[in-house]
Amino acid sequence: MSALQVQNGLIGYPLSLLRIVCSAFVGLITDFGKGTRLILGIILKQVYFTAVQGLLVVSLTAVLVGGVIQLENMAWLAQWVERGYLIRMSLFAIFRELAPLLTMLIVVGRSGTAISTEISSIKLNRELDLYESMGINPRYFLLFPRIIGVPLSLLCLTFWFALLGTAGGYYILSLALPNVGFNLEDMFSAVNVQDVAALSVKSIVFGMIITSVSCVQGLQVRSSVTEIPRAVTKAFVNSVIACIFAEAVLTILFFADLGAKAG
Amino acid sequence: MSSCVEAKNLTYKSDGHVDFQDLSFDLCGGKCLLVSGLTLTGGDSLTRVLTGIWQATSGKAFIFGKPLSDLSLGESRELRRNVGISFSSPVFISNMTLLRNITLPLQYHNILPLKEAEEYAGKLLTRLGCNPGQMMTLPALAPPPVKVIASLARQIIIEPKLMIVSNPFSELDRTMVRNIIGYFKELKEEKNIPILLISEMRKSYEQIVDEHLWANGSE
Repeated sequence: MSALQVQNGLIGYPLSLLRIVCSAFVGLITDFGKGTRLILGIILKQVYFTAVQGLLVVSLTAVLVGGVIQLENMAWLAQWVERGYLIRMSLFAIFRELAPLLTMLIVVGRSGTAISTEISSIKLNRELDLYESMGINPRYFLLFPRIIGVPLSLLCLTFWFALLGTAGGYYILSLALPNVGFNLEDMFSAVNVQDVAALSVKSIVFGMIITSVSCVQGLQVRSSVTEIPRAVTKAFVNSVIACIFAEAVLTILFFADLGAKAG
Repeated sequence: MSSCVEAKNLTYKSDGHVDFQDLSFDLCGGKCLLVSGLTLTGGDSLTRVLTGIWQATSGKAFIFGKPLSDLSLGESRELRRNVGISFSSPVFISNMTLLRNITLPLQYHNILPLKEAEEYAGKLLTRLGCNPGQMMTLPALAPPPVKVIASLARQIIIEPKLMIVSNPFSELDRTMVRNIIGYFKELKEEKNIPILLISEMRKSYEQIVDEHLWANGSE
């Protein structure tokens, strides 16, 4: 079966996602060196659209959410919990969960939907046959730049969210509560290698999920433009569900030992 | 002389509809074969089957002596690099200008860098009777004749060893048809490139066609 043919079902759908990711890398191996500048240009365009143009939304969300989380923690929990723990709670909430999840939601909304719309139009416009007729590998030309571009952008945006959410949140907190009792260095000193590794792995996995789900939904369009909005909606919903599932699995894998220690 | 493209009892059906049936022919270097009597869809299906994009329902197709059914995906893609393929309704990559569409195969296969490819495309378009300036537009905004010329230019620019062209003259005026026929003649006679033309009708092709096959299997 061709990598660009997709299946549904409990087993068929995840297999299609895996096949899309694998075939993009197989395309890189088989067509390596072909149209390098062309492919780099498409990757840069994808990064520009996903990361650079999405920076403002991510920054605004990060500062506001970071501020709210830290303010709520200080306002409600400070009377029962020691400040050192509060710092860690805020930091872990932002670094481990909120940064990857909220950035993922923004990227799904902006880039995932754009990719599924583009792939649907390409399928309807019979451009896939066109690539084949010119000896151009659609897996390399179409899938690979997106499979690389979106995770790379998501990785950068997630770290940006985590840093800005922590720092920006701290400044909002210090504006609201002048005697906050700790500084920004105290907050960042609580970050360890495990947190950074988890954040990186989650971003890359989410990026691949978003791209593959969006491509699979786009490729399922068959004959009519009225199928495109349905494909886009499905791409959004399925990406979010798959990412949340992956988030749960990755959190267990990375932080299970903490639970064991606590127990 | 060995044949460049050969069909043996080739049939293609989709969703119960017969696009073409029991087609047999062979075409060798420097010749032009016209297959007529097929619908637009049938012509495009034959183009796809003969280049390995689709699999025939029955029968065998050979390109440069190689049976298409035995080739891997990569091998058939490599084979298509040497074949100029043009469908009846030209398809383009919608977010690239027509000129970028024409130069895309040259860039992808590292034949020429962008600037040189665009210069080369400009010369070819002038030769086909088209103003290269018309190619700076996006495909959706271009008039149909310009798209037809762009589609042909995109196939010719890769210097193919075989041309398979479906309904090339639809939408074109007489001057453009004359220019293209002149160019096809040159490809056929001077460069020894075989041309397979697929068309609903026989009109306009007398000057270049060496053999004619009536595909009466179409519905």
